[in-house]
Amino acid sequence: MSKKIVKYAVEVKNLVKSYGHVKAVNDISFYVEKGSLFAFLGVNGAGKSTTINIISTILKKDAGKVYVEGLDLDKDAQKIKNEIGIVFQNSVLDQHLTVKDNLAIRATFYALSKEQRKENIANIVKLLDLDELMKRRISQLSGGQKRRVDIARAMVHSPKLLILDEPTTGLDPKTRQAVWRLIDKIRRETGMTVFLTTHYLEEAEQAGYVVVIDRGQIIANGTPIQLKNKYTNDYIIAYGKINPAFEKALKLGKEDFHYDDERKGYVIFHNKRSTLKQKIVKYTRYINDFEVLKGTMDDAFINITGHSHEEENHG
Amino acid sequence: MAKQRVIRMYNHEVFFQLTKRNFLVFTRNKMRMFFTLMVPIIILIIYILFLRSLELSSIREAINSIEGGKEIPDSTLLVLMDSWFLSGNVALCSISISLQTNNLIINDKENGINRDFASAPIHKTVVTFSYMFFNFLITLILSFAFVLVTFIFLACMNEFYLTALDVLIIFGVLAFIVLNASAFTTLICSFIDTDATLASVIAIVSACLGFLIGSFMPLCLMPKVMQDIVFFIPGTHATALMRFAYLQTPLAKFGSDFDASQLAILTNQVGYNLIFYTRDMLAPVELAVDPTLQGGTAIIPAIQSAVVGGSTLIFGGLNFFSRKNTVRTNIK
Ligand SMILES: Nc1ncnc2c1ncn2[C@@H]1O[C@H](COP(=O)(O)OP(=O)(O)OP(=O)(O)O)[C@@H](O)[C@H]1O
Ligand SMILES: [Mg+2]
Repeated sequence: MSKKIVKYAVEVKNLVKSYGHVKAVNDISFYVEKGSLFAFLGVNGAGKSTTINIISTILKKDAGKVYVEGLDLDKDAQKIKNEIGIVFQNSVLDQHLTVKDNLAIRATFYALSKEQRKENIANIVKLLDLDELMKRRISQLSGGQKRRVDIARAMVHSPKLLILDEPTTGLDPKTRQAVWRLIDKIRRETGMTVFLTTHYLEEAEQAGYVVVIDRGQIIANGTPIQLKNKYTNDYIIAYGKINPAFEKALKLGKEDFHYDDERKGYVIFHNKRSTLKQKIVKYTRYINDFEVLKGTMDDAFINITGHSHEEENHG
Repeated sequence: MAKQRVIRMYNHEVFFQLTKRNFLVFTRNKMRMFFTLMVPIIILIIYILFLRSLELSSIREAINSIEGGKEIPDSTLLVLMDSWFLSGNVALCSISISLQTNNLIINDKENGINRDFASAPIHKTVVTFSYMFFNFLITLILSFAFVLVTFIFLACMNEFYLTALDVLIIFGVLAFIVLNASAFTTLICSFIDTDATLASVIAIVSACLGFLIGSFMPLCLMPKVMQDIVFFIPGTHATALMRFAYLQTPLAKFGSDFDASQLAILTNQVGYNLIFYTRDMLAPVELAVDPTLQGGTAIIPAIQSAVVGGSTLIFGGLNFFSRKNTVRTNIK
């Protein structure tokens, strides 16, 4: 048998999974490139965890194909388990055991020699800076520290693919950034493929590739820049009071605009007719103070899903 | 071949490590250990405070009123009665402790910790049997602690007649019946998914089990229907077996103080043998003297051992088939 060159860390084709009437995952297909940082973006209940649990071999799919590192989930589930490390949405650490016990015991789940296990743990402890925490019980750690140990636990067997289900949910903004930097560092230093899910748009913005999932279906995908270009427009805000003369001029110029009450200014979108710079020059006598703004992932998300991210979170 | 050996070694290692993990997780919670051991001790205290004198008077009446029987001193009756009750309580606590210890399995289901096992290349069988073995170890240790309490009690009452060999036999029987209890409760817990359900099961079991397996009350005092039912509970036989371990030496020692029918009652009815009969009861004394009279047989310790051992194997096997339930998770 010739050795096939595996290009994708994960390949999912027409994956389907239902719970009764709920189609949690409804015919989705995507690839995760090896060594990349891949983000699965979606609101609560979109089907992120379901997809991840299927890829991690702990949930049965209804239909479709899944390949991990070129291995077929239907035939080689046992081998796939050796290639992936998963950080679950809820921690699976033993709260009353020390960090050291947690890591040491989990390392034995994979058929590694004693020396290999020791070496792996030593590397992880260094990479994730856990030295001082090793003798502490999990229950005595802060949320951010726990998450670091969660990640360490998933890496004890040096998997090729690290899957993280909402690694930053429930952490404060500063810790979230720290965890994010850590994930980035892990990927750079180990060359692992990182597959994560998130609610946070600003996090997806830092990924190499983003797949947006909603109600079990993929509704957009691409690099963050591609998504922004496709789904958002850059725009100008011309600050000032409502000005009928300005509005008349804008209408005459066939501009796409509206007055934003909150920001107290006219929002004028980029269009094919002219660049933002040309617009500023054209309407310069109406404009005193202005700002040029790039479309954000938030805007992209609203445009993609047709509903605001915030609304969905609260509704 | 070599590869198979590596896999086998690996499974042994995982089995050992998982057992260690379960053991550490359970024992780090000292309060849980303490409360687990409280139940049999509370029962013992209730016995000392309320039941002991009551039971003495009824057994005194039963034994001394037998026609042609001898007058037996209370001190002798107390030795046998205390040993009878304590050994029954030991058997009971082996099951109740075992059930409470399996709280760990339910916690793993509720916290979703077993997803960690599912995502690793370890077999469900290994996980299931490591739960069972862990349960065996903890239950054995805690039950043995209670056995020591019973020894202290007997010694304080000046009723300790057990020999070194008896102590060994008690330990052996304990290990034997604890294994049975562990296999049984692990199987039960494979079908329980939440702490709340387990708590209800523990409450129900604590209330009934002592009567169902004849720990608190001799079987011969139960209605015939109940007797027929409880014969199919392995715990009944485990209790009888433990009674044999506690009673055989004292019975042999005082045997010459009794006449034949008194001894038969103390052996067959409020002793360690069980009597299984098919026709309705004539008179308790006659039945005790000759169990075959009523189309029955005496279930002697050898048969009890066979029942306990056989059911352990069956429960063990069922655990294998129920392994998916044992490791299933509550969390999406
Ligand atoms: N075990 C289950 N039984 C029934 N329905 C389920 C189950 N697990 C998930 N679902 C449903 O499937 C859908 C997808 O759930 P999933 O957990 O995959 O979402 P998610 O994207 O991970 O959401 P979150 O951001 O809240 O974690 C939801 O509608 C959910 O209610
Ligand atoms: Mg989820």
